[in-house]
Amino acid sequence: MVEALATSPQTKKYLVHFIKKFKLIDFCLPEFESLATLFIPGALGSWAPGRPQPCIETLRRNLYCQPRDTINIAKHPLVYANLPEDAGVIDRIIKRSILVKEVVDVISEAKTYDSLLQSVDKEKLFPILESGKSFKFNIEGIGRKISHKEQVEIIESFGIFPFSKNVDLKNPEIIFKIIENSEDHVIYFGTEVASNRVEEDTFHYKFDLKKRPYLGPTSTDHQLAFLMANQGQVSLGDFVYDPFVGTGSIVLACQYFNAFCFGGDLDIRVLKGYGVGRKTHNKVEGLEKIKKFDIYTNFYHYKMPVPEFFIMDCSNPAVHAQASNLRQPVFDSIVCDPPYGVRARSQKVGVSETKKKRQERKAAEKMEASEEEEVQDDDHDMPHFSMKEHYDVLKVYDDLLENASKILRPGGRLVFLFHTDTSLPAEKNKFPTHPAFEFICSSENNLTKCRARHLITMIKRVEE
Amino acid sequence: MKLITHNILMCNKKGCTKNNFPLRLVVKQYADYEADNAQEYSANLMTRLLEKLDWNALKITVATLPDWGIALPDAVTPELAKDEAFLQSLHMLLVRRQIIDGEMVCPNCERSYEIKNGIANMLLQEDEV
Repeated sequence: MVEALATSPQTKKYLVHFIKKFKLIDFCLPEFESLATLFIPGALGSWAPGRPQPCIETLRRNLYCQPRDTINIAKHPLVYANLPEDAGVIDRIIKRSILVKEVVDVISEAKTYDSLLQSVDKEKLFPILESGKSFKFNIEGIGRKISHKEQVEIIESFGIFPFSKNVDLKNPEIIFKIIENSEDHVIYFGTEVASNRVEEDTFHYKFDLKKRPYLGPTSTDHQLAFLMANQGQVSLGDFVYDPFVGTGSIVLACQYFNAFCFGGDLDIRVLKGYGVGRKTHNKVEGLEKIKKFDIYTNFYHYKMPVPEFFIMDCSNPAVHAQASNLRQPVFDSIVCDPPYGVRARSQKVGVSETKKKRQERKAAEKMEASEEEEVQDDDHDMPHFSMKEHYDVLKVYDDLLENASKILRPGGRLVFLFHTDTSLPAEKNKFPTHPAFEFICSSENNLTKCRARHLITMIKRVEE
Repeated sequence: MKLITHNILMCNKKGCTKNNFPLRLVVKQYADYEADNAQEYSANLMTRLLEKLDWNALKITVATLPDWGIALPDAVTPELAKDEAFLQSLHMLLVRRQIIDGEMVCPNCERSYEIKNGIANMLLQEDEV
């Protein structure tokens, strides 16, 4: 522990600017914390190799320069954090993040532009100016658009800068960044360390559902799927399992990070690519050349490694917990969206003839395949949804946690979506727990006034 | 289905708890993935993979596939784990090759699990759970 701290890189205070996306505001800090621990182990005083129990509280205390509960991304998406003084590490975090926009090394912070200039950290700024490096300015307003005219005025007020010789708008060595938050009138001035500015340039842009040839009715949105992979810290060579693979959206995000991905599903039709998934209606390049649409289609389309798929009942998995006495359980993370009664039910409204036939076939398959209450729900009419269904849904989670506790390695991550409905009694909305897992965080994604889904991250405990 | 998947699957039939791993693999058809559709070779990737493998199960299984013409060593020594040629051949075997058609049979209870279109069906019948 002491050793790990001694060899860890020096940290410094940086400003982290989050993307303010209304639906994903609650995901910003958990994602940032997850990536920080993935790329800077040991640097934050916990999570060091050899340390048995991760302590999320210590991490948060060391990572943020203010108490975490005082951070309000909706009002102020800018947070000071302690990060290693290593542009490479920061760049890795940014390049993989969905919700971090940029990291800035702040030179001054003020309420007005006049005092912004007066309060500059001279020891930081002067060496940059004297270095003769090319630079440009980048000005951004949060909550209001700063007009071009105003931007020019702001830049001109920075008279001490050598504008006559070193400006380079195309390939500057240094980008000076001014961020004005109109919500609480705080202005920051500093240099950009790493950024993710344009969405078209991000790694995840091409995986937008509109750009995929094969889709399902509940395909997970690409940003949410990548957020899930980030919560799972999916990395090169990891073994990752999604027991409810469906049309493969989550496993696609995990596969992007070069893991060995395994997708299981109870429903044979899903894997074979008929009945549930379909060809997209959007214009996708090369769509006309694809002959068959199934769970493999997207992986071939993106020229990605194809995950392993198998048909398996999550409540009774045939995955070896521990094949030999020598090795520990194989999976590094389990990332999934368990089937939820509400979604299955909402699909059923206005049953068409073809759908009815499909349901009959499903019922027939069900007779063979036994249990899995989720599918039975499909075949009942509305009044049949009662205590039993909700009990069954929670049972799915109980089974998931119990089985995950057997096949995840100690320290491995379990990431899943959990639905709540505030119109139901509170005990139905309680997050599932398991003695083998430590709860790390949850992020709320509102669907309707009373319904929401939560992205929950847990870590398999390490025996002390 | 790749051999790495075979390496983590066991028979889960009710009452079948002993000698249910590794499943006896019968290959009727196999093919190799194009380079694009399999994890790219790197020493790091193979090191991670070796940590996960049950080597003995893999060795026994490969020995039952004589037409593949591959003989694996009894154990992966530290020297072998750094041997580029060995790791490359292991990559071809474990990451690029998939079994498209075949079955897996439990050595204990003789329950057969079908592999079709590269997908193993591990689902049990109602009376087997």
